[in-house]
Parts: sequence; structure tokens; C-alpha cells
Amino acid sequence: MITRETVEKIAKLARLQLSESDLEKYTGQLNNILADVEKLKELNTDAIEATTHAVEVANPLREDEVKTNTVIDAVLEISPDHEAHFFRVPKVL
Amino acid sequence: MTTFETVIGLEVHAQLKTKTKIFCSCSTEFGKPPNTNTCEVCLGLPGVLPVLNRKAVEFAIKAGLATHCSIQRKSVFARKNYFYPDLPKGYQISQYELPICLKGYLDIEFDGQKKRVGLTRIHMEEDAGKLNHDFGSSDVSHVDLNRACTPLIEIVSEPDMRGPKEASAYLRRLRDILVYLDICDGNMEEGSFRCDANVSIRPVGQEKFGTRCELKNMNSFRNVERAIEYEVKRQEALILDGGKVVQETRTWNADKGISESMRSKEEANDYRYFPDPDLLPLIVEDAWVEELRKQQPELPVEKSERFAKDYGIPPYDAEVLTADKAVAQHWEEAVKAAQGTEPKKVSNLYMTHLLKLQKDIPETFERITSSIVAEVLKMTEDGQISLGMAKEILDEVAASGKAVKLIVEEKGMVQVSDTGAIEKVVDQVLADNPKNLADFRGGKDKLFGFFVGQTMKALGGKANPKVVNDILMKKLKG
Repeated sequence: MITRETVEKIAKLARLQLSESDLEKYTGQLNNILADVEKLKELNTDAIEATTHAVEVANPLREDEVKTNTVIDAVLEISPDHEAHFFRVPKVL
Repeated sequence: MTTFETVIGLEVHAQLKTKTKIFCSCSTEFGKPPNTNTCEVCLGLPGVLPVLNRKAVEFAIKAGLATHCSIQRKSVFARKNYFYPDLPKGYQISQYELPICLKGYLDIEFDGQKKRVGLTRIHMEEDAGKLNHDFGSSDVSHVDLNRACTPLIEIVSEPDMRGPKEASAYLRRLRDILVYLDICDGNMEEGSFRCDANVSIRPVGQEKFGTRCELKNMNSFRNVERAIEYEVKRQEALILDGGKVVQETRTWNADKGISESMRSKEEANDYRYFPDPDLLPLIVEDAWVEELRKQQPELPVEKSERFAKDYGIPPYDAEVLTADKAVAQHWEEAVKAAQGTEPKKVSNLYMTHLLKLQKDIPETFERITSSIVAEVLKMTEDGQISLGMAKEILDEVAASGKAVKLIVEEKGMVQVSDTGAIEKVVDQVLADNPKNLADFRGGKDKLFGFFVGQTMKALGGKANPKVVNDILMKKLKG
């Protein structure tokens, strides 16, 4: 059972500002999702290995070869703030 | 009074020496202008996909093999979620429930004791970017993402260590291994080999662990020892005072010699890990592991044992000589090149002279090649030069890179072993000192030194002492 406090906590961790009505709505929706999962749990999956993906594909691995990329100039240009090729952010320590 | 036992577990982050980042093809080269080693992937732009670097996987497997881990056929990348300006995606790609290596160990030695330290796991992850706080205005920070997405392995030990000395012995051994494997440059000051320590204390005899603190920011072996020593004292004082240790992260302040609590938000450790949907599980087939196993180089412990056994040098010498892979190779080549010179003599030269020389002149072992060591040692064996002269020549080679022959000529360093020439000088010395000669023959044996001195002086110190002694002995007796 997901409580409203849980939703508040997750929202805070995700830096989401939710209105009262949003909190209400998401608490309900999340509980509905969990209820569906509960339903699935009725199936016996003891003999099935847990997967993180629906299909198992061979590893797409990359060779260790350098490619240059200059997208940074455009990215700095549209960033909120930059200086001397650094991104500039409010002081953090 | 209660006696306490210290319990230490270490987490080491080692930067892998790949050319490119773990999930993109940007260069990992150090010291480039800010943000120039970046692309859509490591900048965390929307809509991009990470693609895993094969070399990074190989390096992680090599580290696992060298530390007796079991290499997992299947491992999974997960997202560790938190917000910080050096983390452009808002999550770090790491491994959580299914890391690539599990359950290994490392054999360490400290204060003459041997001990086995368990490894819980080794997992792969990406590094974060770098924040610069001292550039420009004081109310802003500057973000450089060149380091973001650089491959790391995190090596987590069991809480098996019982003191600061053990902890640093473990770290040194681990670093030596990674450097031998050529997968990490092991530089603590520059941050390519970083260590966090989990430290707790418990009354001797108690099985349950005490509450631990995590220590960060120790950028040398010495600082790891100091920080742990301090932390143990702090926790003891706290408990004996009736207080309780609070689980927290503390940062080591090397200048003040104390650890300080880091302001930790209560949700700081709520990372909400989940499998990264952008990356498929990593499958490592046995054949790949076996291939890599075949490529594993001889590691420091094995090399040290082999040196002691095959070359008959003391175990201590072998250990010192093998701590640095390049030095070990240099030494072994010199021994082979100096056929006929006892390995122990070669070892002595490194232990008493060359290793010290290297501290002053970093190019020492590039300028003094193994064949130069062999050449100079051979000259001493042949009696051409003395050991003192040999060292002088090597100093000069290290400093200037000049050829040995040239130095010998310039300094006129030829040891006279020509018996005819020496005999002549000895005759002259005896003729010049009739009184001493008579006294010597009358039983004043001590005067032998006087005659050696006179002869050497007349020969400008360049005579082979053994030849001089033999000739003098014969002539003095008359």
C-alpha cells in the first residue's frame, strides 16, 4: 500500500513539485499499479529466472577507439549559463 | 577499562586505463580543456543510448581474476539516482544487485604477518564530472564533464581488517596488482585510485559490529592510516564518554589532521536503484574469461617468489624489487645480461643505489638501461673499475644520459690491474720508506695499511685493491 507520504518523499527525491490534487491522484494511480502487480504475483514463477529485459540479445559492445565530437559548443550555447568552456552553476560544496 | 577492536572495510574506486569512456567514444585523456572530451552521451542529452566499452569489461574481468573472484556470466547495469551538478543525467550508471565479480580475496603482509582479506565484489560504473569551486566568482561553481563517464571499477572488501597498517597493506597490494595488470595507473594523488574506509569499533570478544562511519577524501596511503587512527580514537572517546557513534559520512581533513562530519541530508542514501533499461544484461561467456586468464601477467607475489627461488636473492630484496613492475623487469634483464655476476650483487646495486637514484632522477631507469647496469657490473667484476667508480658512472648516466665509455674516459676512471706497473710503484714506495719497512718486518703488522695507502696514492687511487694487496704482501715479506 502506497501512502501519500511515500509519494511526497519520492516526489521530493525526484525534485518534483506536486499540488495537493496531484498527490491525491498519483497515490491512487500508484496503488492501482501495485494492485495489478499483486494480481500477476498469483502466477507461480519459481522456475523462471528474473529478467531485466524482455529479450536477451548478445552484448552490443564497442571497441575502445576514440571519436571526436564537437557538440559541446552548441550545448554550451543553449545551456542556462557558461563561462570559459565550463558550465556555470550556483555554488555547491 | 574496555579494550576495543577496530573493524575496517575498504571501498576502492580505480579508474580504468581505457582510451575511451565506458559508454561512449570520447577520449579519457587527462588535462584537456574543460568539456572538450564530451559528446551527446556523456553530456546526458535526451534520446541517446550508452554502448558499453569492450575493453572496460575486459579490464574488470582481469581485476576479478587477479583477486580470485568468481566472474559472473550475467551482470546488470543499474541506475543510481541522485542530483548533483557533476552528474548530467541525474543518475550514475553502476552495477548493483548483479555485479560482474563476486567473492574474491587478497593475501596481504604487514608487520611480518600474513593475512587473507576477503573481497565482497567488484562492479563497473561510470565516474562523475569535476566541479571547480575556485574559478571566477565565489558564488558559482564551474562544471567540467571531461571525466564524466570515465570507466571505474569499485572493489569492495569484507570488513576483515583490524587496524590502519592492515588497511594500507591491503591498499598497496591492490594497487600493485592493478598496476601490474596495466589496467589502472594507481595514482592516489591524482585520483585514479581512490579509497573510502568504513570504520567501526567493538569491545574485544563481541561478535556484533559497532556502528560504522564512512571516511572519504584520503588521497595517500599515509592519509588512509592517519584518518583511520584518528577515527578509531574519536569513536573510542565517544563510547567511553557514554555517547553513541552515529552512522555518517566523514571527510578527512589532512591539514588539520581530523575527520569532519559531512552535512548529510536524511535521504542522501536513498538512491532508488533500478536496472538501466538502456543497457542489456552483460553476458560474459566462459571462453572469454579463459582467453583473458591466459593473458594474465605474472603478479607481484608470484614474481617475488620466483625471483627469490630462481635467483637466490633474499625474499626481502625480491619483494622490494617486484613492487614496481618496470623496476622488476629492468632488474631481471640486467641479471640476464650480466652473465657471471651473482644476482645478489645486482640486487645490492638496485637496493642500495639505483632505487634511491630513481627518487631524485625519474628518468634513471630509462637512461640506465639493463645492459648498462650489466656492462658496469662486468667492469667491476673484471677489476677494471671499483664499485665506487661504478656508482659514480651510473650517477652520471642517470644525470646526463652520456655513454659509459665516454664517462670512463672523461674521468680517467681506469683501474690499474697491470701487475708490472703496480710492482714498479710498490718497489718505489718500499725504497722511499726504509724505516717503516724495517719496522714492518720487525713485526709491526699494522703498517701494512700505511703501505697500501702510499701505493694507492702513487697510483692516483685507480689501482685494483686486490692486486695491490697481493703484490705488497709478497714484496713486504721480502
